Parts: sequence; C-alpha cells; structure tokens
Amino acid sequence: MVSMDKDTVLGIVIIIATLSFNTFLVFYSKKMIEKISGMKRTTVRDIFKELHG
Amino acid sequence: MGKELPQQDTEVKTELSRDLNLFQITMMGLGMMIVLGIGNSIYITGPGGVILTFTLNGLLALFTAMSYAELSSAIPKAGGTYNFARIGFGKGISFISGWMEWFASSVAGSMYAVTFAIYTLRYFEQIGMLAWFPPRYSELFIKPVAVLIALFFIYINYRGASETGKIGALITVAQTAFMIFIGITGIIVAVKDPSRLQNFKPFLPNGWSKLLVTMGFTYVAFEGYEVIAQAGDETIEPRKNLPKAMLYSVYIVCLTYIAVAFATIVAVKAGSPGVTGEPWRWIGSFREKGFGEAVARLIPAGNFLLTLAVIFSSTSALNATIYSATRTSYALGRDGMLPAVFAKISEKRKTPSMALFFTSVIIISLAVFLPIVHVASSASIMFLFLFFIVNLSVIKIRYNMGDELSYGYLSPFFPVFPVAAIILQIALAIWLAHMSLIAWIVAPAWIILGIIAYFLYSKKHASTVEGDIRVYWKKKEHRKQAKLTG
Repeated sequence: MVSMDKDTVLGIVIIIATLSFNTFLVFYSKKMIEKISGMKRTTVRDIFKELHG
Repeated sequence: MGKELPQQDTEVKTELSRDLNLFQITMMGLGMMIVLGIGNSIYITGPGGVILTFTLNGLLALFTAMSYAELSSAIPKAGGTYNFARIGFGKGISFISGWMEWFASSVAGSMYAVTFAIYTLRYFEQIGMLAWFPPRYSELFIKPVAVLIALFFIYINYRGASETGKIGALITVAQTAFMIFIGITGIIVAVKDPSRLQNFKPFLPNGWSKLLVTMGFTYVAFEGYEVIAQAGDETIEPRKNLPKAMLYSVYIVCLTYIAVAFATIVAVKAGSPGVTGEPWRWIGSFREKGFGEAVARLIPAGNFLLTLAVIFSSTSALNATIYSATRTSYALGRDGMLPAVFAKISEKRKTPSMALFFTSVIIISLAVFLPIVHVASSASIMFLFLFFIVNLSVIKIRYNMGDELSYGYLSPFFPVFPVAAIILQIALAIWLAHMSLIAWIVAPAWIILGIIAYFLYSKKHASTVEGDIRVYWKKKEHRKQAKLTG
C-alpha cells in the first residue's frame, strides 16, 4: 500500500477535480451545440430564451 | 442594445473549397500535440508535477478553446484571431494580431521541420543506414532534410484543404494511436506491479511554484484550436463542427498527455539495471531524452518507436502550422491589410497559392538561417498574446454584438472562464520571459515592425469589412445614447 503525504493527497484531489470539471464542460458544451444547431434564430438573446426560458 | 441589425445569414459563403469534416479538423487540432516536453517537465517539477502540469494546462487550454469555439461559431472565416480582433477592436489591433499569428505559426513550422530532420537522421542512424558516414558530418544533412520536408508539406497544402486534411489526419491517427498505446501499457504495468506507484514519491519534490514553468513551455502542445479556427472557410457545417472539434481536440490531448506522463513515471522499476537513485530523478537526468529512455524500458524497441512517433508528430504539426500561417496571411490580403497578391486563390486548386508562397519563404528562411530555439520561445509568447486578445474579444463581442451575430455555441458561466484565462496566461507569459531573454527581444521587435507596416501601408489600404461596419454602427449608437442620457 502506498502511503501519501499532504502534497500527494492535494495533488490527486486537484487532478481528479480538474479532469471531472473538464469532462463536464466538454459534454455540456456538446449538448449545447446540438441544441443550438436545431434552432432557427441563434443570437445570444434567442439562445438564452430557448435554453433558460 | 438599441436597434437591431439583421441577423447574419446562417449559410456562410466562401471562395475556398468547403470539404473538411469534423474528424479531419479534430485531427488538425491533435496534430499540434508533440511529445517533447515530458522529460524536461519531470526534471523540473518531479513525478506528480508532470501529471499536474498537463492536467492544469488542459483546463486552461479548455477555457481559451471555449472562447475560440464561441467566436468561430459566430465568425467562421479563415483568419482566426485576426477576424475576431477585427470585429472586437477594429483595424489596428486586428492587424497586429494577424501579423503576430502569421509569424508565430511560421516560426513554429520551421521548428517542426528542423525537429523532423533531427529525428529522421537519428532514425537512419538507429537502423544503421548512416554507418558508412562519419557521425559528425550527419549534422550537415539537418538543414537540407528540413527544407525538403517543408517543401513536401507546402505542396500538400497547395493541393488543397481536403488533401491537407486527409494526409494530416492519417499521420495524426498513427501518432495518437501510439501515444494511447504507451499510456495503456503504463496503466497495465502499474496494475500488475503496484510497487511502481512508489515512483511518485515525493510527489512534488521541487514545490508548487515550478508548475508555472512547466505549464509555460508545454502549453504550445494544446493550442490546436488556433489551427482549427483557420479552417472556418473550408469546414462542412462550420457553426457546429468548429466548436466541437476545438473542445474535443483539447480534451483528447489532455487525456493522452496525462496517460503518457503516467506511463513514463511507472516505466522504470527502482533498482533495475542501470537505474541509480529514484526513478523520476533518473528519467529527469536525461532531460528531453528522458521520455525515450523510460519508454524503452516499457516497450521492446521503445526508443526506436518513439523516434518514429516524434517524426510523425513533427510532420503533422508542420502540416497544421503551414495551414494556419497561410490562412492568416490570406485573410490579411483579403481585407487589404497586406498587398492584394496575398489573397490570390489558385483557380485549379482553390487554395490561397500566393499566401502559401510567402509563408513558405518565411518558413524555409527561418529553418535555414536562424537559431530556432530562441525564436520559437518568442513564438510561444506571441501565441499567449494572441489568446489574451481572443479572450478579450469574446467578452467585447458578446456584450456589444451578441444580438446581431448567429452563434453555434456559447461559452457557459460567461465571463468567468475568459477572465480566468487572461489572468493565467499573463502569468505564463511572464514565466516564459524568465526562460528566454532573447524571446522578449524578438517578440517586441516583430510587433514594432508590424506597427510600422500598419501605419505605412495597412491603415491606408485596408478595406471596410462587415465587422468594421458593425463596430462603427455600435460606436454611433453609443454616442447617441450618451447624448440622450446627458
């Protein structure tokens, strides 16, 4: 079993959190691109109206 | 926001041939991934630091990639950063952006051509083909081989975007597959022999501050989105495919680098023959060659295969940078910022032949005559300046023209990510200055030359484009509003 010091624990937490956040942003963005591609008008106002009501 | 202008046409018109698909442009972005920074990163920041370097760079690159994705989806034209700055800030700043982008991409192209030559000759040495030749004279071949490979990819770029995309995609697939293979092998080895995880102790032997140094010099591998932005005129369904390709390429590069860095650390077993001291110190002692030395212990003939991988990665990066530099100078010519000859399109191939010619002259001259290492550092600084301008542009354009442009993607949590990217990139640019003083002489010198060119030529000859009309119209509206509100 590998024992871990403070830097190791913090480093691993940062790596996992950052990768999870990256994954969330990429998949959220992909979903948004697909939604926007189905809209007729796509100004910022139109997109916000469609996505957030 | 005042009176609305008619929204842009959904279909984007172009004189260039529109035949690049999502896969091809994603591969263009991945083509910038070149695996030369791992050994040095281990030396500077240790075994945990190298993983943190690529993880944090992946996040920072994603922030800027989202800005590029939003702007490219709204303004999908060849020229990339130059176009965004033109619409966001007008002629002066946009010319300097294009001027910097053209030079930075050309210098990067020269660097990749020379890298290709060095590793190709090393490959021939490894297979014994240069045994008949005195070793010290093999150096004489570097420049001619660099010129030959540059000419080959210049010709491929002249043949057309489709050929560029196909050849580039093929090379990048081979390179990425090899990197993923190394990463998976490393994970399997660590699962079979968990004692190798002890190689990560101490996790950050030189402290947290060294991360900024390693992030600065490896950031160049993540900038594939800048190349993808140049393909706006030649991509099928650009509003949808450009943002997707940018985000996918950054994500894949990030995961690949982390897997490969992990494999490098666990590849070396402590106490195995030839390894003295802690494995990470042993790998780091080889500096840029450390990655190859480690992979040689992970996979039979690893060093040899790695040489091939670097040859692959340098050719795909060379291909991508020639493409990017050519499209930037074409866009400057198209808008009258550079002489009209830059905007000439080959009737047969539908490619910007004269922009390609002038770009080729810069790439080949730099490859032959200049000490490429320091000039390449100045290119990195200029890329960081460019990303700074893009992150500012995305904020200004969304607030000023968000209801006039047709977007294919909007960056979430706006404007948190562009602001964070601006702050972090300033920090990286400052740290790069610590690494190369010459870079901080070359970069400002090129910018001053650009300012002179702007006032002597571009300011008088620049044509008015749709972006200028919108900027002008907005300024007029703001003046009216100011008068009404006293």
